[in-house]
Amino acid sequence: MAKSNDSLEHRGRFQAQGRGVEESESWAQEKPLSVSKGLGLLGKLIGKLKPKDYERRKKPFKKAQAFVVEAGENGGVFAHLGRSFRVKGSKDERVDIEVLGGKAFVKENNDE
Amino acid sequence: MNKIKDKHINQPKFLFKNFLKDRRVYALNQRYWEKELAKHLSEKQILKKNWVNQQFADGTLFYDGNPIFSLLLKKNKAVRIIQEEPESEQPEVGAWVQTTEDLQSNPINELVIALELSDLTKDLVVQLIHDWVKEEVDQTIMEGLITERLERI
Repeated sequence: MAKSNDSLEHRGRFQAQGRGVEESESWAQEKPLSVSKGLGLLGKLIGKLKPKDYERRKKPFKKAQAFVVEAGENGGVFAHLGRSFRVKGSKDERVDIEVLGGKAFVKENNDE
Repeated sequence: MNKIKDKHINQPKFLFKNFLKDRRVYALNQRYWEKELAKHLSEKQILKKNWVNQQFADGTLFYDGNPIFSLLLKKNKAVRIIQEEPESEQPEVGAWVQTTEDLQSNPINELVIALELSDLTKDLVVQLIHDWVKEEVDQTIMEGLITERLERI
């Protein structure tokens, strides 16, 4: 019998990448990551960046935050998920969301 | 006068311009990528089409082009195409290689291309993917090829 996605380890990461920036915040846990914890990790990632690097990625971060919230409204999202929000006009400056195992961005009442 | 003419000539002509507004166009756009890449890749090279999730857990599709198409390839490689809202007067395309993981935690080297699809950018995607599937092209070589090819746009 196939394992359900909920029985897998739930893991993933947020990344700010490109033009010399390489920062990330990851998670790996028994239960799906909640929306609020996802937004918290994105906030921590923003805190790791130099102000100018955050300024350039302000729109991508807003899109990443909006996606986490929208996912919460739609039951979360299963792995493998890869979404990248690029700074327009750049080669590779971006914010990434990756769900590498299990499920993420569930509403609080579904969380631990 | 010439400047105006040149500017007009160099402006991108968008393909599937309404893909974010019309779901029929979106589906045609996805099919376009599938057919376009099938011309340049053999079935033997492809492990899975659309291996990157495009829907929420309740089944609602993203419908935002992020990603619009993806491939899991042999040799621990993958491709992800992000099609962005067509809005720029200049050709818009970015690309990079990163390491991700499959569901069994195997490392996967992934070529990601983010673009506004136009007559000026469509061929570049095919060129980059053509480069990436070559066995001898690793992450370092590919980064060089990306820089070289983007400079020509």
